[in-house]
Amino acid sequence: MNPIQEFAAKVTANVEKVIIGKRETIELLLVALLCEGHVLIEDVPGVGKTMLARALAISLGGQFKRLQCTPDLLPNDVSGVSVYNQKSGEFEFRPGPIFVNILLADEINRATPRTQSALLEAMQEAQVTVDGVTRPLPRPFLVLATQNPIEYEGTFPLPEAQLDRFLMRLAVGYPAFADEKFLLTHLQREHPINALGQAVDGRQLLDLQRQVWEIHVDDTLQDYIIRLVAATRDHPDLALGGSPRASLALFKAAQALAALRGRDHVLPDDIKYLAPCTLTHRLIVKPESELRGRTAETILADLLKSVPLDLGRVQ
Amino acid sequence: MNGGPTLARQNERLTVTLAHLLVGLMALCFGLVCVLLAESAAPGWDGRGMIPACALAILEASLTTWLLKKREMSPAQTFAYRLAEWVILLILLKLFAEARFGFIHLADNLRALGQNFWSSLLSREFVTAAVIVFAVWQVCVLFNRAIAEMEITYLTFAGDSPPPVAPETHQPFQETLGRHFLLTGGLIALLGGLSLQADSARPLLQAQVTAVIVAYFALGLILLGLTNFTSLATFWRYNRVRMAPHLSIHWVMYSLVFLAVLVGVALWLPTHYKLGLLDTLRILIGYLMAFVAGIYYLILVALVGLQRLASRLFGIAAPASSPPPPPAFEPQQYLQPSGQPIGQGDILNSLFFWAIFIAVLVFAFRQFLMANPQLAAILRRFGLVRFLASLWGWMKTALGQTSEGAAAAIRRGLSRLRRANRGPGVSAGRGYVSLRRLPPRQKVFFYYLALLRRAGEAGAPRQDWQTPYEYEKTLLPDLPEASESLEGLTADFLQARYSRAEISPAQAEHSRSAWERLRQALRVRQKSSRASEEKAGR
Amino acid sequence: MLTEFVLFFFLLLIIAALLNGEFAFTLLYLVFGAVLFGWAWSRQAGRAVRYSRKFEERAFWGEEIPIRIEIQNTGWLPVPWLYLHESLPVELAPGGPVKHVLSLGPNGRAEIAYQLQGRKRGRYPIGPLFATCGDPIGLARPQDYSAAPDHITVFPKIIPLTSLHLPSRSPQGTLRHRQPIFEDPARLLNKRDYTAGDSLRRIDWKSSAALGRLQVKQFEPSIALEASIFLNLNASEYESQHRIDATELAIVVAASIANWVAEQRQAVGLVTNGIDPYAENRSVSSLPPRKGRGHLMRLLETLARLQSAPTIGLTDLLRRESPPLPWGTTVVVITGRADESLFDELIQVQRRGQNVVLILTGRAINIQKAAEQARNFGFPLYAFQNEAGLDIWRRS
Repeated sequence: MNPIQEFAAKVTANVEKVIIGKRETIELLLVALLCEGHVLIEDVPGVGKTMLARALAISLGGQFKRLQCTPDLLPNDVSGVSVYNQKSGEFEFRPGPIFVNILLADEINRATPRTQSALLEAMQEAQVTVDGVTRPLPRPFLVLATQNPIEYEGTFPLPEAQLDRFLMRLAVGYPAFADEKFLLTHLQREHPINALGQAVDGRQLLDLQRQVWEIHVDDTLQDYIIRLVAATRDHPDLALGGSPRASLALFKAAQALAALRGRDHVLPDDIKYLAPCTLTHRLIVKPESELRGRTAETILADLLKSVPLDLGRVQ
Repeated sequence: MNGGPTLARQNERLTVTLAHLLVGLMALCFGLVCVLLAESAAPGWDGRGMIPACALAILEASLTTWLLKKREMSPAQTFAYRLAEWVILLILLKLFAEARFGFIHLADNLRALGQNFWSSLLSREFVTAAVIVFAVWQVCVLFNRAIAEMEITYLTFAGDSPPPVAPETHQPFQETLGRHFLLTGGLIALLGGLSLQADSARPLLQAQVTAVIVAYFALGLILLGLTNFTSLATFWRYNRVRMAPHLSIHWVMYSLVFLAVLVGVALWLPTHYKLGLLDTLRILIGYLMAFVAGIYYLILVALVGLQRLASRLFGIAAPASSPPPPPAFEPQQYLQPSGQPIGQGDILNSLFFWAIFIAVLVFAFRQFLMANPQLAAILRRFGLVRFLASLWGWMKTALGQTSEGAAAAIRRGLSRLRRANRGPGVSAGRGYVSLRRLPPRQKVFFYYLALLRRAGEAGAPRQDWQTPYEYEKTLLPDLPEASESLEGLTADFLQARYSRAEISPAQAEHSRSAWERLRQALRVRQKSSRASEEKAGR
Repeated sequence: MLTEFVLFFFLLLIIAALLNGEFAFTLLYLVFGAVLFGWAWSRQAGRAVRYSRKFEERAFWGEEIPIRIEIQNTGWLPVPWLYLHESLPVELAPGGPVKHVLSLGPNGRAEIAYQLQGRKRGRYPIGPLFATCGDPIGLARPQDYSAAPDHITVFPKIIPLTSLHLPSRSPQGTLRHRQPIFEDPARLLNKRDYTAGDSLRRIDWKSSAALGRLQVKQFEPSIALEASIFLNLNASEYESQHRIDATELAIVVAASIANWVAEQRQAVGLVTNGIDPYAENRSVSSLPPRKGRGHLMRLLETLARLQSAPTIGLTDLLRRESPPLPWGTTVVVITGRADESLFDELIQVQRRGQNVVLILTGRAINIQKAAEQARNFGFPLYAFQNEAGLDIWRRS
């Protein structure tokens, strides 16, 4: 078992004390952690989105803050504000909740578009500029944002073009019958989140992230990633395809997944497995195609069944 | 083509001029056949100079048609004109007929007119020439009338104030022209046949007659194509159909190509046979019987061989049976009336001839039935006809399926070739690969790619988007007995392909043994699927 | 000409049999070959031709709709002549069907381009395309083929509105509002001196430092507009004489309002009792209020396909469909007449906290009375006899 697997096993075991039957989702969250990417968890209320993010944050230790997004949340409420100190006669910077290792932006689509924009920009650049001064955010820095699907009222859908800043978008999904039954019997008294402790040292993550870079990605697979993302750009049903950032995200995520599964090399199946959660939120379907019932998921599924994978030749 | 009435009129003039030219040439062909017949039937009659005479008659006929169309004449005036025309024509012809043999001959003949008017006037040369010229003139007039009809239709519908009723796509003048073409064609063929019958010993007569008659029909088909275009163009123009700019040029081009191919094929196809229809059928049945006997013999030989093998394996004394002698096939000798045997080439030629002849007959009969549905309905009441119709339907389906199958097999083969030569995939590289010299990693590649190729041939190809694991999942249900080997080879390949780890010779050997087992399993699968296909086919 | 063919055939047989004329067979091949070749040629060539139409499946009213038919000969045989007849709806193609004749070389391509005019909303078939292919000589019968039709939807006419004020009480939106109830924290309006009770989050530290006393930010009030258009297409609720004009106008008004609301980036929905002749059971499902261009297109497409018919009444429709709408939603009712029962139902709607706007289209009777009643109940009423009436919403 390599250090990454050890780390992952500890975190998974800890999170599973709270979140039952969601090993795949936890694995994908760990992939994002290892890639230093942010995650958008999108699902209906009550499936444990917030609990999952909290459990992960607690398991990693480090600074963790939860930001409950509401319509009156201002950009400054996220990034921080310079307060005038009458005694010293100077402005003092009071950092916002974004200055943490793990930020849980709960129900991000309830914040106004401007606040969302400020948060998303800070996520991407890992720094915040307030009153002309740029301040770096601590590392590791991970945003776990949750949101209800946009069909629900009183929300501001995240700007489609900015969703690119999330490494992946995950859906938690309803638990299986047995898992739900287990939940009923075990969580009826006190919620285990209250008793959950730190499982690993979050600072270790920086070192593990560097190890992920060493995972080998064969040339043919690099070509495959580029072809797949390029196919989204030329697709007639898509108004916006994947950007080079999408290719990079898929590349890095595949490396992290391979490491988590104890391999020193990426397999084409890693790429195919990760493509839906790393690409679909970056694709904008044309309105007329939406009318025809096409979604980013179905389009990508079609592409995964049409973009050829070169297995190479005997040389 | 769509440039308004002026252009339409120009087109009309061009079309009519071309039609007259074609009719003139056809009439000339007719005249030539008449001349050949006259020369064959009346030895000593000299047909020299008849071509200019016929040409003159043709020119006159066309001119007269034009004049009569220009000046609206009463029937009496037309009759007087025609009479005058023929008197002049006959005088000219008389002068021409006698002058052919020199002016002295002409002077003698003129002198003889005074002595014995009728016998000198109606000399054999003159009468024969007059009949031929009249026939040519009549043919020309007949066709010219149909062309005039075409001209009127064209002007009526393409003019400035077309009638409110739309024209048909197939005009009556086409019917008239077609009828004239076929009847004159029939006549010309009959005259040609008679000329051959009259003087079969004359050298080159057969070739001359054939060439002239084929020329007549080829020109006639061009004329029909031209009138077809005119008729359709009238319909399109009337209905304001936008016509592509190069349509007429393409039409001419494709008509000529069509005709060239048709004439080529018609001249190439056999026109004689040494064997009659019944003899040909007998030979055909003989060949079929020989084929069946051959198959039967092969099966018997195989059975005897198996019997011997079984007795050797189980140590039983071999039965005394020996393979039967091959069936004797002695083709029957057919003799020509001269007593010489008919060669294989002639037999094949006769077979070919009768096959084509029957095909033409069947096609003509089918077309006839399609045009007369009542007759088809009456015929369908007979059981034999119904049986033949169902037999024809079955043959058509079987033939269609066979050709589809063949086309699919060719397509499959081509795509396999293409796959082998390009792109992502399953190719084991170009050129010769020496397996022994390959490093272990490349050996693993080789075995896995060989698996893909073989599995593809066995009907379970890898889709080019499938990963090795995805492909493994699709292949596993087909090869349950070799699942371990498949998983092993897939895992080996994935490691060799995507990791940088060293691949040991032992691993390559493992891949090889997995590949061997898989090959065996694929072979079994291929055989069983073939057997089930055959069963389903039966 | 068939009789002549038969005669000719027998004549040739006689010549071949009696006169030993082998050329008769050549003629037989030549003449019957012309028919056979012509038939086989036009059959094979016609079968190898592929047709595809290229056009935008949705068009806006008044647009010129370019349509291209790509014709490709996939075979190696040339097509001597190909007559194409494209059937077109008279509503979009006043010139009638498109007719072309062309020829194609081996593997040749051709293109026919024409334009339709989006003169009337609706869903129309484009095609089928009938093709006739024949040989140049014309002895064989030409072969007929056809290509299936495609469909095009012409959206209803949209009149751009500039000053439509729909009442709304939905909080936290992006539309400016006069009532200072719902402030938009992202829309800075002013700054004022701090007073006891002001939130510390609203203090503007920069200006406080500059002025030497605490300043708080004031925000602009805003609302969200969520409109649901109730379009009455029950034929019996329009004056029978002017029903077609009135229902068409109602659809134009609905489309224009929907477009305006969507332009304001607000949510708009549609509920109607009209029928969709192309739907499975001819019924139209309601579209709940949503934002976005995709949703607007869906709404316009529904409006494009609607037809009036004797269906359920508007009051029943309101009773069934308005209760689930959220508080504060603006219910825009478009109908041909307003009677007591409608007003009774609209009052119920208003009592549920939804805003009502009533729009009468066509030559509605008793407009004065209806306007008076609407005024009494406190909701706006607009009456339009024609499209020009919408000008009141076009003045800025």
